[in-house]
Amino acid sequence: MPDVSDAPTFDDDVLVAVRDLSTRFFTEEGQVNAVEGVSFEVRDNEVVGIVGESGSGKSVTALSLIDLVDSPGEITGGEVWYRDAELAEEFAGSDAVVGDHVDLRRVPATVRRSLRGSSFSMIFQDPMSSLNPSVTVGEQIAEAVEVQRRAKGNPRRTRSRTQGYGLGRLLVDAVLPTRSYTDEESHARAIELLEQVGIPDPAERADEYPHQFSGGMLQRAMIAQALAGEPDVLIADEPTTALDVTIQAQILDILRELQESGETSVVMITHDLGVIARMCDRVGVMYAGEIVERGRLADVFDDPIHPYTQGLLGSVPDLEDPAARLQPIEGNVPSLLDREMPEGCYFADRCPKAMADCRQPVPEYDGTASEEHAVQCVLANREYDPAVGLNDTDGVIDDTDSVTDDTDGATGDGVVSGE
Amino acid sequence: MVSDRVRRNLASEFRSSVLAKLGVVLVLLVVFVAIFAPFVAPHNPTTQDLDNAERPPLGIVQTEERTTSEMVDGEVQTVTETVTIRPDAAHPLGTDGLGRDMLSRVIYGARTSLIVGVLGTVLAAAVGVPVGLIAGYYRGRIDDGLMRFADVSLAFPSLVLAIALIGLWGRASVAVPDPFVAAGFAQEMPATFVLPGTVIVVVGVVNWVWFARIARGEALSLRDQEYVKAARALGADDGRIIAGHVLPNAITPIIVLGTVQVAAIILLESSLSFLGFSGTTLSWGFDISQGRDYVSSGQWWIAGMPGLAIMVAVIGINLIGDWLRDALDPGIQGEGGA
Amino acid sequence: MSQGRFVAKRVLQGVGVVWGVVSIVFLLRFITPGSAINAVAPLDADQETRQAIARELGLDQPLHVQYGDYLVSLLQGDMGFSYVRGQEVTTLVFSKVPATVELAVAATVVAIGLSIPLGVVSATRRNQPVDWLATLFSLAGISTPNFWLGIMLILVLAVQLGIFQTSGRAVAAVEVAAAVVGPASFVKTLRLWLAHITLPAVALGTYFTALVTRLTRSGMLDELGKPYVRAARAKGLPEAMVRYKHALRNTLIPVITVLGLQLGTLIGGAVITEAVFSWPGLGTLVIRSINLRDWPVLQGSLIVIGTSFVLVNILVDVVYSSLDPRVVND
Repeated sequence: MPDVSDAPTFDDDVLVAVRDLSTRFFTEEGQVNAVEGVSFEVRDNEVVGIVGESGSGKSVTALSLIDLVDSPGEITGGEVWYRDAELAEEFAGSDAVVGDHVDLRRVPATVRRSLRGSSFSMIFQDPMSSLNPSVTVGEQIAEAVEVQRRAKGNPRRTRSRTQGYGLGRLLVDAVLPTRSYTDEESHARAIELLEQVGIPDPAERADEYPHQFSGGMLQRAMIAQALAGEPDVLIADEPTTALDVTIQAQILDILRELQESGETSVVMITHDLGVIARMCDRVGVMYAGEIVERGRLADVFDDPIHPYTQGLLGSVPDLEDPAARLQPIEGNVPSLLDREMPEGCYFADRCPKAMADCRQPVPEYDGTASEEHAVQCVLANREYDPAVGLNDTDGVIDDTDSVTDDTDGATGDGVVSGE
Repeated sequence: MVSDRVRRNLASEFRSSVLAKLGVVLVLLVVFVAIFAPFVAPHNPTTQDLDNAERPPLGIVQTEERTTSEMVDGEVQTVTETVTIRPDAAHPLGTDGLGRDMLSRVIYGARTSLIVGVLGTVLAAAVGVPVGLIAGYYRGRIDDGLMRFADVSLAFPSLVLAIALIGLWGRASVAVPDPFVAAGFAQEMPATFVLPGTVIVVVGVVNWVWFARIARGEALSLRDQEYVKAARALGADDGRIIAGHVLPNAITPIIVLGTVQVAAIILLESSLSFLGFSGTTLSWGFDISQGRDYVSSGQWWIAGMPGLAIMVAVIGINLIGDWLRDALDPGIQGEGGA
Repeated sequence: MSQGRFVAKRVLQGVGVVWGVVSIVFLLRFITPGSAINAVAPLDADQETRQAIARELGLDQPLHVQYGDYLVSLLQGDMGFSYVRGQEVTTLVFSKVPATVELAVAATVVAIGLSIPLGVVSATRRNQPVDWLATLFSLAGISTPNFWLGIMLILVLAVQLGIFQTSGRAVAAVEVAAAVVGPASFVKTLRLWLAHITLPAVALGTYFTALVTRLTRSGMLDELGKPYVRAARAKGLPEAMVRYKHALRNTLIPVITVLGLQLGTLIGGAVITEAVFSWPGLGTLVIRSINLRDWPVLQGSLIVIGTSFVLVNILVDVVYSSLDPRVVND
């Protein structure tokens, strides 16, 4: 586990710094450690990828950032530092502030809630089920616009649960499709946003319902909605998984443009290595709730240190050598139940390079190539020694050519085994 | 027909739900009492005992003013006296206006309710399920005809339709010999038991549409399943397909509906008895209507006890219905029974 | 299709159902044991009257002619004549309708007004005391026969505590409304009205309330677990808005379809409630007609009941179509 020093320092361009974040689910069957001591950074103008199999905890990490974890889940520890000068001023003097950065885990929940949509925004995997089927798309985007507009009018501290949306209006809105919350202005802005994401005839489409949109169009609409508050960080949770390959490319282009235009950083959550390779500047690899390796894209993909990362990359079919056998990773993803998790490295049971030391908890080491490349594996400092190996292997993992070379134009077929 | 997975779901849901256990306990209690009424009931429910009339249940002491008039020397004299009636352990739930034991009446009333409830549901299902399955499987004109007819039937509230039919057809009932008494046990209990035949038939007629709808819905969605097509390709005739393939898979929502229906029919029967449209007087609803006149003088138990019995029985059935619904398919809207 | 066309289509269907209702009632005449004359003539009618009735009803005519005449008279608003009571059926039946409508509407308003908030609160405060109470109450509510509940209410609130009246209907709702501007004292009229209508409305509405509470609660729990709710929160919407404008709205859609079906139960319940409280409405008329063997009135009442049920369902469908755009905008 990485060391959390008392007074962290941040580079100026660090927008979000997650340190040692842990989220647990307290279920009837026991405690599930979905996210364990995760640390990563998001800087200005970049796309950060978080890649892992299903069940690795990447979605929960994303939800934890904006405090959307539902019970029985709870964020049990860690810090989420966010750079916001106004906020820093508001909480100046408390230990939640370092310079312009504020630790969101140490401010009131209402403040965190107020950041949704305005600072952090999220888009989800299946647009059809992530939008209310009985409200027009335009209205839903207008809502997002309106919420942010009203928020800017109020000081954050006084943000209440209802925000002036009282009982009477509540009941009326429940039954009648009125536009009492939103107005002409927010609807006009909604149409602008639809245009911005490339939806033709935005004015007409705004009055249509989600089921009248195709998957790709709807995902664009979701992005439009996510941009309503001009967020600093857009979190994209598997945004292209439910879409056709050609549409995937379009959506990814939109996201890329966003980032390049200098307005928003993107956190891209996915299991698709090809998407990572195409989109991301930096990447974190998650396994069993932990980030096992992270760093710049080239570092991680060209020079993976952790055997899991090596295995992932090794499972990608090579376009230049299609006949080569794929190398799957033996074994299964471990249970995340607290009582069933082993001491030490969670990957040890499946790892072809596991050694005796791996049974102890493994801290995060800096990689050899650059300081930014961090890996939670003893192999950062040593070579594999079969003499103390845990699993009966020769420690060889077929490390194919780096995937970054194959991705001109196509998103690639890099799908992680075990999906 | 009941697969292992279903059995497991049922068992696990049962284990984890207090209410499901309560439901089963209540229903078993009612069923037991209904079947073994001659043994459980302390007295014959039809025996009148005017000296013992209007006795309150245990724990309650009733005082009332009785006014009697008598002719004395050619003049009418009225005497008002305050009478205290104490409960009697022989009649733990009190007695009604004619001195009949309330506990026994409640116990025997369970028979009526249960018989009408179960037989009525079985009748409704026996008619509705085949019709629905056929309509859904074949579609076309049969289906259209059924749906039209269903719409029209449902335009009449079941109670109103039931009342109208009974009003028109009369209240025929059948006196069935009580098997226990006939076998020589419990000789002081009534030898025959009245089966309100018209009520059962009417209730079935009024409710079959609900089963037909559900069965039709299932048949519609199941007819396009692969295994049905496969069976047809293998030359199985439609009857076998419907009975052997469609029905077993449609059984789950039908069973859930069945529990809802039994509850609804018990309520319906009690309403009919209350209004005097039943063929039997040994019924919870009938007792409530008798007891109604006593409410204004504060003697609530004559109407109160049978009502509580109805609640117990129906709550138990509803809890079982909830258990089934939660275990078998949380998505079923099981409230479609009136 | 637009909402207008949808409504038109439903109305057309409704007409078809009403025709079915009317036809079935016509056929009922012939399933009475004994001749069809028995369905119309009172038991003690003499031979002359019976023959006159036979002629008037055209019972000597072939079936389809009788049916045609029947339909034609209905369209003219003539539902026959009650020999037992000596009145036109139409006038008699429609004179009782307002009382029943008043009771049914009162019960429905109370039911919906209580149950939906209760269901929502129950769902959002799941497994907390409020939820347990609401769940228990609604379980008891759908398991209690409403006539018995009425009697118990009379016992406790009218007899023992003397708060409400035990029976009857002293004042019509329209009179209360008129009293706002008219000469009679508004408060007095209102109190009188409430004293009579409260208990029957509560007894009638309890089943409905319990049912809708259960449905709303389970529906809300389903909706709140869906992805769009999480997405709505993610964009910063206030929690109240997420629950009501989004989740509740989608919950109401299936609830309303069930409501429509259950209205039949409400109308049936009204019959019994009227009997318990001696409320002078259509239900009392039906029961007394059966006891008096006044079949024309029974048939007229059935037609009116069936038709109004169809009308209400059309109304429900219209509300449903404004909630669920997928129905209309296909």
